[in-house]
Amino acid sequence: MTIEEIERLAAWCASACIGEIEMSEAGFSLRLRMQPAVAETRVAAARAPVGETVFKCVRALGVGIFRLDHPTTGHPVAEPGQTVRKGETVGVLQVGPCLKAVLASADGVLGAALVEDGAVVGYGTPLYALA
Amino acid sequence: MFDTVLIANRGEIALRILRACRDLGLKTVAAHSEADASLRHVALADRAICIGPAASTESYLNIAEIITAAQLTGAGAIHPGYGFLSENSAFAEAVENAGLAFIGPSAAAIRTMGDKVFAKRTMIAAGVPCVSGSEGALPQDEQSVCANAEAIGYPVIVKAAGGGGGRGMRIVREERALMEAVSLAREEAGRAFGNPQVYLERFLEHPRHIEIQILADRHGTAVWLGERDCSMQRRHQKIIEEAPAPGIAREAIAEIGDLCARACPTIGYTGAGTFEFLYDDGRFYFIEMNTRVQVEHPVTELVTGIDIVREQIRIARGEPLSFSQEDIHIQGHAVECRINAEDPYSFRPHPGRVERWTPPGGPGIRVESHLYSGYTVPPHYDSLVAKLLAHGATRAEAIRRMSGALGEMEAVGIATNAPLHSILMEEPGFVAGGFDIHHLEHLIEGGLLERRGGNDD
Repeated sequence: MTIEEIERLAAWCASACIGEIEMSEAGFSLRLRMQPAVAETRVAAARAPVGETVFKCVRALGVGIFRLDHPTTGHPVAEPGQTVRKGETVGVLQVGPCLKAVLASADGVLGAALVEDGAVVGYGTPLYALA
Repeated sequence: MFDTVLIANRGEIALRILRACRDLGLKTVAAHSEADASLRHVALADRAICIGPAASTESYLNIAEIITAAQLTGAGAIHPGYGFLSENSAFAEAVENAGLAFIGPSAAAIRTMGDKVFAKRTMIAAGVPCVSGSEGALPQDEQSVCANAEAIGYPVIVKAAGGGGGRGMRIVREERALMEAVSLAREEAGRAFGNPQVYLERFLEHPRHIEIQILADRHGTAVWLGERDCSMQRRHQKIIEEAPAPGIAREAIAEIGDLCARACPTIGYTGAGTFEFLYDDGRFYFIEMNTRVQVEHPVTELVTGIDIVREQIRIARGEPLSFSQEDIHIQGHAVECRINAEDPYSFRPHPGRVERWTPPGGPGIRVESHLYSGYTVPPHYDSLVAKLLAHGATRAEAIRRMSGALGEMEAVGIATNAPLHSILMEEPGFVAGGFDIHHLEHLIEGGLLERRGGNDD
């Protein structure tokens, strides 16, 4: 599958209001998850209380192998100290041949990773502190 | 061959499976929901992994996450326990397809026995007796309806083919009432289910629930491990089970047990399983097969000395049964009380924090429970928190021991149905044994629980 084909697929999903799509062929599988509309994110961010004292963190949303570095590029997906927006990809969860994006649960500054690259994580495992 | 077992269940059965694995020298992985991180077996397992939020649809029923968890933790087998995915043929198939061992029968055998019509037909072919009934929907003409009822024998029950829950059902005791009942049932069924078809089945007046435990290996050997009497029920939920069944001739049990064991190879069944029967007027009628380990399996373990969960795992490893039918002997009598976190009189669930847990003990007492002092019973799951078992040389001794154990047990902070069990241990019908499946409902209707407080059901 080419990048162009994936882009076309993403555009179809967006126009059809499909939130998530998964497909697989021999030796290959793909999952696309559409981020909510940007305007919606901004409203939510604007309403978020300032000076949140609760421990914020990015948690795994399922079972998988946590990857700090993107398996296809070999480069880190996100760096500690980086400012991230809610919904931004900050890591990758590898489940067999599938790669799932780990998304920031809120706006904030990413802390150090709480688990090592390649660690098996479960649902709810804290992956990054979020300040 | 696998050396690590992923436990895809919770509560007492997860702990029971963990102990069986430990006895066999196998490592364990506890796959648990977010609400269950504090469970005893999670602490004791070699490894634990959270597979989803509290809701069981997203955790204990999530096939993909459970299989991924097994693969990533190096587990070579999955034990499904009871409930949840234990009788889901799609799950068994997914486990097989992932190259893992499913500790239970094959997906095909689960599918066969899960289809009630097909299961009944298979059992009849294997020579296991079933409740007699009309073959499919009743015809319209009066003569053949009467002939059908005549062949089945009165009393008969008219049931809606597309229904359930008691609607469209009519009990008929003699021929002159038959046609009116059939037409009323057709009308009711048509209105309630949009399908006016009805069928006839023999009506059992005072059935007992008797079940046969079997074990079958992958080398063609199948044995039966005696029976259990599970007639003490409320709203189709068993609350007390015992073995052997009082007042049924051993020869009759042996005959039905042999039929069950012989049926296993014909349906390609391996692992542990239970054939459930209604027993009325000296005859057995097959109702369904449970293709998994049952809640009440320890009753059979106490009277036979065989560890059923360990045998399940050994069978899944391809090992032959280490004993034959001749080696199985029933010793004494065993009783099990299911301890639920619920109000004993209103039956309302009562989850919460267990401030202090003091299990009973002594000769002949066995406790299967995941409780500990400080544990919080979550509200998301079944209310079973413990199984109390008593074994004695005689039924009377087992009941006496159970009474003592119920008095000793302490679960401060939550309500349990232990007081109800204490009442039942002294109830004349229970003491006599041999009561039918309506016994407890009749007792409650007759005021068993009145003036005992809280009967606001």
